[in-house]
Amino acid sequence: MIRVIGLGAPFGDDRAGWRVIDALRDQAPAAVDLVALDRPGATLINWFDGVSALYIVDAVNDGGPAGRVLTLTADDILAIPAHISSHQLNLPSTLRLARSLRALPPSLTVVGITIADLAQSSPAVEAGIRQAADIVAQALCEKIGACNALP
Amino acid sequence: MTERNVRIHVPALTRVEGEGSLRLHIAQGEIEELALDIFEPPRYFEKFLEGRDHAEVIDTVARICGICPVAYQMSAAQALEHAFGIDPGPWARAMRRVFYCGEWLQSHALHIHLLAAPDFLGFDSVVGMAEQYPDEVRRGLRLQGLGNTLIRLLGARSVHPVGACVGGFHRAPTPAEVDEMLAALRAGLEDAVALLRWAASLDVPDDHQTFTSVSLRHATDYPLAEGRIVSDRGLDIDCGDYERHFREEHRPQSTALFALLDDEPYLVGPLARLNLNFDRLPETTRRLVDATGVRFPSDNMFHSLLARAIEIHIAVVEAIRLLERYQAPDSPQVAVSPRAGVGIGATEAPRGLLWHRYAFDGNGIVRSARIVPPTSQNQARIEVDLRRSLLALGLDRDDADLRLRAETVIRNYDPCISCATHFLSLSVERR
Repeated sequence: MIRVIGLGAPFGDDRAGWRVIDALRDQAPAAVDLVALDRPGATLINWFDGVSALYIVDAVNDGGPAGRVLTLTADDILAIPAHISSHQLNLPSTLRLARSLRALPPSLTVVGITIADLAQSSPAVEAGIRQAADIVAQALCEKIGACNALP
Repeated sequence: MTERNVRIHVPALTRVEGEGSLRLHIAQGEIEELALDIFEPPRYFEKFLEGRDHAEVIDTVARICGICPVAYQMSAAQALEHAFGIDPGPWARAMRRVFYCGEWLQSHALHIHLLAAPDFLGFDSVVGMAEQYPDEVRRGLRLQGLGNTLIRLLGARSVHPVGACVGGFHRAPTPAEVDEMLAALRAGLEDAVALLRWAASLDVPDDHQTFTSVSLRHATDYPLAEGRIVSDRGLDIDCGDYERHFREEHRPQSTALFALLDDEPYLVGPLARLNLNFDRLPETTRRLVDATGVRFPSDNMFHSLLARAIEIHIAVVEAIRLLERYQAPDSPQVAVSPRAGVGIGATEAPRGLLWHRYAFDGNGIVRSARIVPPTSQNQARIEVDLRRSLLALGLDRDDADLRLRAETVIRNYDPCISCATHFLSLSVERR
């Protein structure tokens, strides 16, 4: 199974991952499973079972220009240092846990959108959301060979 | 014993919620100084609430904690209904128990697997533990996910849910949603049974100590969302009488308050609940506990992890029992008419007794608020336990052993430091 997970929270730009999932409902091949999750912490791993290729779309707060889209591999994410706070595991810690559990999907891509504002949606991030959806849709069509689903 | 001077400072405690540190000074074989410092910035929620409408309280207090927002909402709802003379009725009461079961499930599963178990299995984190115990960690993640799903059924989302209101809930689940939830709970029951047996088999320190357990006690059921406040020293009071027996005091090293019962430390949380309510266990849970050979009441604080596992089983069994008799109500809430007065509520958060008091004016505006979270109630007990446990371990042990035992003791209480911090009245002495 190929799955795209949009991570987010119901606040301003932090909805970026969910918005990409909304956009993909019109763009992605029907066989792709699209999921929007609200701050799942380590339970994100429960969504890895039976997945051959996984795309995770999430907002990132990296100090870069708002709306910038980053495409990262699992190794890129796993190289990010562990986070001390433990209310929830963050994405790098969760993926490290998944690696220890041998639960990482064979193919994993993380698409990050640099965000600016947690109180409202920023125009620059809107452009990033559209770009991220196009990147994921293109990757899906190449993987599945069903590019006719694209507009 | 080798007499030496040891200073251990753990500047940032890991695998606890929020920010705290530990200072330990041993000189000439004696503990000279031992303090659990809480330095997370104080939370001003009680002041935030003053001047706000009663309808804002429930969603505001949910923000105190990302792990136990349901507990804050349920204590607040009970207090507001008490102030306004409202009975939410049997449907809302039953659904609040179900809602709370979801929070116990997710919070206890998180603590057992991600925070506490690595201490007892010799790992510094769940990431290392997962390589050797993948099935156990996966089981924990499934149970945590099941809890989140249950919270969503009534709260619309699992982080800071928005479904609860004064008088009941904003929306009642449909029978089809309840059927789907029941199927997931029945599927999760096997995991809950296996977890309970596994937790009982863990090799925890055999360390017995004397402490006072405090929890709610319900007339017929295991305590969750209502009951009287009882202790194993004979206390049995209405939650409205809490302030006559319990007091909080400031200590300079902490932005949390230290709560005392008749001037003595006491324990709240899963082990205290189980010690005081073993006769309220569902029959299937009690049989499983009996088969483990571990007896309750227990005076071994390290049985807290097993107590959490037992409460996960209770939560699954109780949610199934209540949802099997589910009927959609005519309305998910009763009408609310604010009036001037004081309301008090107390429920059992995953970490223990959570007590709220609010005063309202005639327009339903909050005039004052007081919130006593479980971690500030346990803080004095944690320091007593630290001193006691380190002496039992032996102060001549090397620094790494002392530090690990101290951290294990603190984590065993599942302290939620973010919840516990209050505004601090500070007096500074200058020479």
